[in-house]
Formats: sequence, structure tokens, C-alpha cells
Amino acid sequence: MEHVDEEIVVSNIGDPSKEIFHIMDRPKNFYMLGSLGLVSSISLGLALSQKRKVICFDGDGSLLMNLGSLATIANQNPNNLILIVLDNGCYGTTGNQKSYTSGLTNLSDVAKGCGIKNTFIAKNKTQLNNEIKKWLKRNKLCFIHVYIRPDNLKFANIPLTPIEIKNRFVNNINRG
Amino acid sequence: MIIEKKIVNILKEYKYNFGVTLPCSKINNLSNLLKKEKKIHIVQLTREEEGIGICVGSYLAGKKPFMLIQSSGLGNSFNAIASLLNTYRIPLLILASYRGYYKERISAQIPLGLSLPGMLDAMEIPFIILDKCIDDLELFCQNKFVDKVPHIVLLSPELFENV
Repeated sequence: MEHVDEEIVVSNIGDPSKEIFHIMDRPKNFYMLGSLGLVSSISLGLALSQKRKVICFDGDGSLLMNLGSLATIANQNPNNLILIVLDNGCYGTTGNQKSYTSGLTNLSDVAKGCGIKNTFIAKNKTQLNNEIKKWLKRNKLCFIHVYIRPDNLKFANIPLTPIEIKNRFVNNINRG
Repeated sequence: MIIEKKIVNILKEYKYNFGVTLPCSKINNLSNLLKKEKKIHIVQLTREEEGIGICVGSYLAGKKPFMLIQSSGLGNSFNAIASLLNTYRIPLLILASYRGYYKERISAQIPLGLSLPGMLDAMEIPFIILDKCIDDLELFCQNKFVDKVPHIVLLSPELFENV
């Protein structure tokens, strides 16, 4: 988040949104509260409908629920979408139950197979920083696959209602 | 094609400018007409549930989105309708060809076709069924958009039968 400036950020439900809220809350963050899996779809809708760059923080469990989204994203090919997948190999928010990315499934390969050309893997902070800095400056769709350790920090629930999150967000992003 | 053209004209008149769709044999003509409209950005989906998410993103960005799907796809979308559209109070017009309802030849469509009105009622999702004409379409869409709720128009295949 330290590299984020004027971009839109959309974050996955549960711990990811809570973490982002507590680290760097800003009106251009849209926090999801339910509908696991749809963060990449909401991000796509935003990217296709206005010009600002959209950064999507997805998770492995969430993306596994909506793999078709990668095909739609690849074929629509918005040049203002950065899809970051935080892959801890488990369902963090519900108690770290393993997901299939701990097993045989590689989400970068899935993304490539769906047609996303710019896919990168980051295994440490340096690699992640480099990729993010690079892609924030470019105007191309990209998929950054970040391997992280399980165990999220425990934060309180986001003290905003859904309507507050929506209204604040909508009032702050330039439309069109 | 008359009904299809009327529907497209209503969408244009009320400034719908972003649509998500999946094929259905009953609404092919309507879908093809929409894809020719330059002022309406059409996105093909892989699954209807994903379309709810995409439309939410589009709405937040200031567009006026709609869905054009088969009614069976609503069955794949109920949680997204409840936990996204209703939770954040986002209006969304869902045009759905009503399967399992009128001269349906595919038996697998029948169970959901029969249950659908009851399920929509249980979820308090406003809907109308259009059988022979689309006179009620305009007012329904206008009112429900203002109410900021998801709203469904079930299009009977009878509408598109060649007379």
C-alpha cells in the first residue's frame, strides 16, 4: 500500500480488507464484506468503466472460487488493472484451512492459461516492491502472484457500514 | 424482432451504457442487437455470478449497468445479489429469459423455472414477468432504479415467438 497514490484499491473480504483499513484507510479503498470470489470481478467492472488504475487485492481461496473471472479479465484486457493475488495457501479468515494452492494448483499458470500475458511471481518483499513499482507506471493488465505466510494479524472489524463504504468511495473517484 | 428493438430502445432511452451477458437461445436476437449499439459496452461473462460483481464495479464508477442472462443464471447469483447488491444498496436491472416456464423442452430447466418466483419473493427481490407485451417494462425499471435495489424482468419466450 505504501506505493499507492491516487489509484483505486479493491480488497477481498475478511482479514485482507481489515488489514488494509487499519494500515492505510482512504476513501478510494473499496472494502468487500461478503461474496467471496467477486473482488476480481468488481475490480474488472471498475477498470472497464473509468480511467483510473485499479489495484485488486485477491486471495487464493477467493480466486479459486471465481476462476472464470481470469478468462473474462484476460479477454477484456483492461490496461488499468493490476491483479495482486496474496497466496498463503489457505483460507485465512476462517481459520487457515488449506486451499488447493497448497497442493497442486498454481494460480499463475491458471492466469497464463486464461490468457493473461503479464504474470509475475513475488516470493519476497524486494521482488514484490519491484513488481508493484514497475506496473504502477505501466498501462498494461498484469497479474502479480505473491506467496505469503499464513496467519494474518488480528484486527477489529471495519467500523464503516456498507453504505458508508460505498458512498465515500463513489464520491471520491472520478467518474468516467 | 419488434419486441427486441423496443427493449433496446428503452435501454438507450434510459441511458443504460454497460451490459453483461451470457448466451441463451431464446434471446439471441436481443443480444445481437445490443452488441451493435456503440453507446453500450457489452461484456461477455463466464458465469452469471461474476456478472453481478462486474456490474457493481461499473455502477460504482458511474455507469448504468444491466444484465442479460438466462433465468437459470439467477440461481447461480443469489448470494451475490444479497451480499453485494442488497448489502451496499446498488440498483441493477437483470433482464432474464424465463426458462422452465413456457413451452420448455429442456426438463432440467423446469424445477428452477417453477421455484423462481417464490425464491425471488422470499428474497424480496422485485420482479415482473412479461408474457405478451413489454408495456410494464419502462415504469418498473424507472421505479426500481430509484429505489436502489436489484430488480428482475423475466422475459417469457412467448414474447419472442414469431407471430
